[in-house]
Amino acid sequence: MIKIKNLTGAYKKASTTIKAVDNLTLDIAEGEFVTIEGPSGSGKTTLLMTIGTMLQPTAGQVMVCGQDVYALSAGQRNRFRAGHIGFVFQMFHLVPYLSVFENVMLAAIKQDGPTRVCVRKLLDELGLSSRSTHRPEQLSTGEKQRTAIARALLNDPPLILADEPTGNLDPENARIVLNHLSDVHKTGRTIVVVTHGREAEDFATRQICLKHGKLA
Amino acid sequence: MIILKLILKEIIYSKYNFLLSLMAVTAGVALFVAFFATTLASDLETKKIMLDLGQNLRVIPKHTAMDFFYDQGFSDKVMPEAYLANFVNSSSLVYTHLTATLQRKIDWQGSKVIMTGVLPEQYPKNGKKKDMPTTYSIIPGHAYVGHLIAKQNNLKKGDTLDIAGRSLIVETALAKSPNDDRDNIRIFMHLHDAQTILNLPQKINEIKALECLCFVEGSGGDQSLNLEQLARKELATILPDAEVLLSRGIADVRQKQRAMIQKYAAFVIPTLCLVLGLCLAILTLLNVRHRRHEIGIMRALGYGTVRISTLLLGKFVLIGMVAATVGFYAGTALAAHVGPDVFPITAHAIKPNYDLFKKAGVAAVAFSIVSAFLPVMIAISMDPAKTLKND
Repeated sequence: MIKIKNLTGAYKKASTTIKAVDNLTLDIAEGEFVTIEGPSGSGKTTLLMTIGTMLQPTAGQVMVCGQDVYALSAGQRNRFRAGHIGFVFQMFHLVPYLSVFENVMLAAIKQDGPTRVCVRKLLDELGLSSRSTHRPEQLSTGEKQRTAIARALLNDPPLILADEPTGNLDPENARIVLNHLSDVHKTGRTIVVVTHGREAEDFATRQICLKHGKLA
Repeated sequence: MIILKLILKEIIYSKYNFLLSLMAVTAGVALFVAFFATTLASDLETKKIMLDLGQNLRVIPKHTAMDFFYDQGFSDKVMPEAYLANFVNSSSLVYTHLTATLQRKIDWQGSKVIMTGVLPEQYPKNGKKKDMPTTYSIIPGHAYVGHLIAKQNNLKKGDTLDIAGRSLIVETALAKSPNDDRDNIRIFMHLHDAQTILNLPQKINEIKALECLCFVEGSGGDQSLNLEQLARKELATILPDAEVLLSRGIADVRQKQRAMIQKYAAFVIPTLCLVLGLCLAILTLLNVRHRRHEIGIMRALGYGTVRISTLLLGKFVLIGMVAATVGFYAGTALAAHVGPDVFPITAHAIKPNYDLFKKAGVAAVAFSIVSAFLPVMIAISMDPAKTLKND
């Protein structure tokens, strides 16, 4: 599913070049549930964003679903991302002026009837049917994250990338969200979760630890 | 989701930002429209005043008794009507309006009446016809009756009056002239009617040219030349039996006034554009900064630059369209409200100019997009990976 070869992700801070990811090689197979752990600044999010085709690496190759994603043009990469990758973020990043239903529909590649049915089904599965007309400000943090999960799943992507999805949640809601991600994993999708804590380990098939941009 | 729906929902959500942006563009459009509407009225007002004071150029028959001319306002002699054609056909004179008149004071119904025969205005051969003539355009067989004559003879529109056996239909009974008492005892008619009544076929006793600043081609724009002499020399070849009176003073004042308005507009309009554009840019910057996570998540969902730009800039197309409509009517209303105090004679000319509306629409949309463009591009170029990182 994911093949990373000699990946380096560097950025400049003042006059210093910092290697967030340093010559990393990693394979993640289809259907895996992988957690990426490590202290702050270890390069977890940079790695996730690079896998997610959102951050051009300084060097190396990233293959997702058999495609060298950074060999694609920006437009092709946008289309690839929409069809193959679902994102879940710690801060949810829901659009504040849209309802729960509309926030999920925002991800839709096709704005047709079947997609609407699919959104309703997803909201039902995630226990959000009664909140579909509510705006993000009217939701609890757990509901916000479940809305973000529904949005990530709408286009039925084979890969879900989650950046600290439980970082803003209380233990109970964190458990609910991880259970949902586990359910998604059981449908055959590949899940990559960046996390600080160890609560996702119970659900993961593999744990990866990063330190100074390298596998620890 | 349809872009327009997203734009409308965001407008409702950030209504204060939208209203402030709308107000900035609306204020700009309203001030522009008011400025142009009053400029038009100012222009007409000046023309009207010019007419009341006298023309820039007056061509009268040679050997006119000037004491009679200055006393009565017209010449006691006549010259061929063909002089007008000579004037029109001359390629070396610059003017905007040209009329020929034949005037005589007569006794009519026990009163002294100045019979004034006028030809409809002539325009330069290659000149653009003006929107509003500066003199009456009277069709043969009709008359415009001065206030005092109309009052004394109880004449109103549609009545018939008879002068020396010729019947004329009253087209209008004129309002009292505040500037020239002689206008109150005039009967205006078509030149050819006056020629018939006075038995002076093909004769006139004055040609008046407005805005004939007597630029004579070949003068090279050298201001040191005596333009009056040049004009006389030029006219002498085409109007051999005529005398030329040039009102340079009035023309100069007029030119200075125009130059002043143009200078004023050249300062005010760009300043206003800059200030309002800056306001709009700041409001846009605040708005897109607030929406950076939304832009980031759209990137993550696979939205391209064009789609996100359309979403962000589409709002400013709407702002421009609404501001153009509201600003146009507000500006026209403002000009109409202020106009009568400033331009008592031509305030009626201030009315919605739909040609200006179209221009205002295009300009307001373009202005909104240009003002918002830079902040929007800054927002779009932000790295979504950084924006979406855990705050």
